[in-house]
Amino acid sequence: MPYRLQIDGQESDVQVTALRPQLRVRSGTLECTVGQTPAGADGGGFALSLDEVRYRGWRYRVGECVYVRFEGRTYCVQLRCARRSDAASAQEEVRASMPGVVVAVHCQSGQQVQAGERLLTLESMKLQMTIVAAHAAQVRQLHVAADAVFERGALLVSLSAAKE
Amino acid sequence: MRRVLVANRGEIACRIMRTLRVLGIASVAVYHHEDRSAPHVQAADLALPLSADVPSAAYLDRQQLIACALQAAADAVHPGYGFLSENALFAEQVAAAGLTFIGPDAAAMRLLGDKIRAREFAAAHGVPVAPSIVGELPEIARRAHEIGYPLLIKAAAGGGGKGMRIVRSAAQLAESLQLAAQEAARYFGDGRVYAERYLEQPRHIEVQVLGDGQGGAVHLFERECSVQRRYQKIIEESPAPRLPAELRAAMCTAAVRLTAAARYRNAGTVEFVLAAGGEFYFLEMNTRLQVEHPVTECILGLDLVALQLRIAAGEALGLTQPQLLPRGHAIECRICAEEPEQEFRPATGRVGVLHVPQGPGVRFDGGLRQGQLITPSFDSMLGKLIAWGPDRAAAIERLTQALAEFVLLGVPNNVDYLRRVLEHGQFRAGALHTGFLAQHAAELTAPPATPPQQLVAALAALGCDPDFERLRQHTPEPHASIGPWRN
Repeated sequence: MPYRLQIDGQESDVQVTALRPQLRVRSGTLECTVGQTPAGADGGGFALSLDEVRYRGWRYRVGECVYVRFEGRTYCVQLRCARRSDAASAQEEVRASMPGVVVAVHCQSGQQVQAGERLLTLESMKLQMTIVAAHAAQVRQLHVAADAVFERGALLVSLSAAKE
Repeated sequence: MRRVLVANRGEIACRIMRTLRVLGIASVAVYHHEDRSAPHVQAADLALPLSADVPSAAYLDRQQLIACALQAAADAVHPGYGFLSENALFAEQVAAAGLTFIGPDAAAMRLLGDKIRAREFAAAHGVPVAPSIVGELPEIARRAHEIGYPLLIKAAAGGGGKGMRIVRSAAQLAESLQLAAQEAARYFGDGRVYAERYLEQPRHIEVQVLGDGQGGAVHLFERECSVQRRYQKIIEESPAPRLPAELRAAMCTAAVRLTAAARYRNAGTVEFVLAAGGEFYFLEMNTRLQVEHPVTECILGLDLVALQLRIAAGEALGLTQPQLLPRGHAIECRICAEEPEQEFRPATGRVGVLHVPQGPGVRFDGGLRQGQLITPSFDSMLGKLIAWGPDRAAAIERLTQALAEFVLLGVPNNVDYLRRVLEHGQFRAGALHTGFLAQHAAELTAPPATPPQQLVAALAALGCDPDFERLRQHTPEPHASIGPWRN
């Protein structure tokens, strides 16, 4: 079973094909011998080689995400890819994409909203944005009130599932 | 001047304190609890806490700031940019408390900080202004056809793109006016708006000025600030590329005329929009130090904060226009905690790894340290990377390399995006306008990672995974060759 990773949102599989005498890995059509593999759990510098080509860089782990920077570019690598929640339930919950504060509430629990109708106005780092309904739905529950402070990922509004 | 309170935070507070240190003037920092271990607190000779429920409100609390200045026996207050830097009441209260406000006087701020009054003043002194309608909402709606569509609605008290809306047809006008007025009232406590002709693909060019308050003024040349997202600049440079000499002279002269007419004291910036056809219009005057002041410092070898202090202390400008000779080219880019691929959405996190590049002509103005938590409480700008070179191409080369070497991990940021902008052919050609980033959005997105890049990223990341390391180091043969699927 390969290691399943996500690099900048793209699925990527790494298969270890040999551990001795040297680590060999395969990803897609590329198979390489790896030298000087990085060690240490909490980040910092790394150096490794793929078929004798050397790479040096930096990395930093935040939960299951590792930021890796080399050759002047940063990649966000998800170590354990979360199983995608089924589409229906994902659409039912409106979550905060970043921490912030609720500036205004434009809907009420029980209200029927049309696609594109405003639900909330949020503000984070001086940026204001309006959250709109992705589809026609009923507002099942409003989880925040005006002036409420929320964290990234917080549940803001629950909507009934999309009607086909 | 012996002791100065810096009524700000982040990179600009650190920047001001650096000059204070050089001049042997003691610095006083103020901080909200959330900033208690921030670099600006550590950089100061004395730091005093501010109390407020909302962190940003602490730096807007005039009474507390003045009380801190008096408690610290400071003799002056530097407001930096943002927060209270353009607040006339604060300038007035600082002066009333017997302290020196490092900036213009309240009267000049009131005149120039109000966009409607400022543009009337500019027009009266021969500085070109764009065709516009000023008045109550019904009057603007009735006369909008005089300037034609598209038009721009702006807040009289506005700035930073807030309260600004583009209206493309008469059908949208009434609603846009209403929304802009509401947004203006919410942000600035002043719902007055006006309509102005909207220029397609204009350039944003500004002129740095210094005034002595007696009608004496010089300009420190222009800055090109056209590369913007969400109406906020992210790359600024001086001189402006491909700007004809006579146009540069006309803009700089107009800026000096305005500064002198207003009997403006201290550093300020006169902003213009430049239409594709070469006509330029007064936009506004910023009555403070600008974020992008380092590019001007680089081409002139000056310290603008030191000049601000000198002017505030009542000394003469000490500079004459013929003495001011720019040399080379400087570019600044603003490093922000944001996700360019997600419409520049602000991001948060902990600064896990930070390495700032060094090299000839490279400067970093930041208020960052490893371990620092970036929260949504404050602006997303973390610092500025600036490069100077003997010419524009050399400055771009140095800045591109510095961005490649800049390491900031733990907080999503725009470093790689900025580098792609600098590498873009049209940027290098100097074909800039305020819609540049939108126009080239497709080419500015990150190219897909190549297979070797993906593998290096994956292996470096897996090196942080104890399971992978355990497998790699402790699995005996023959299982080692079989791989991890036993686990």
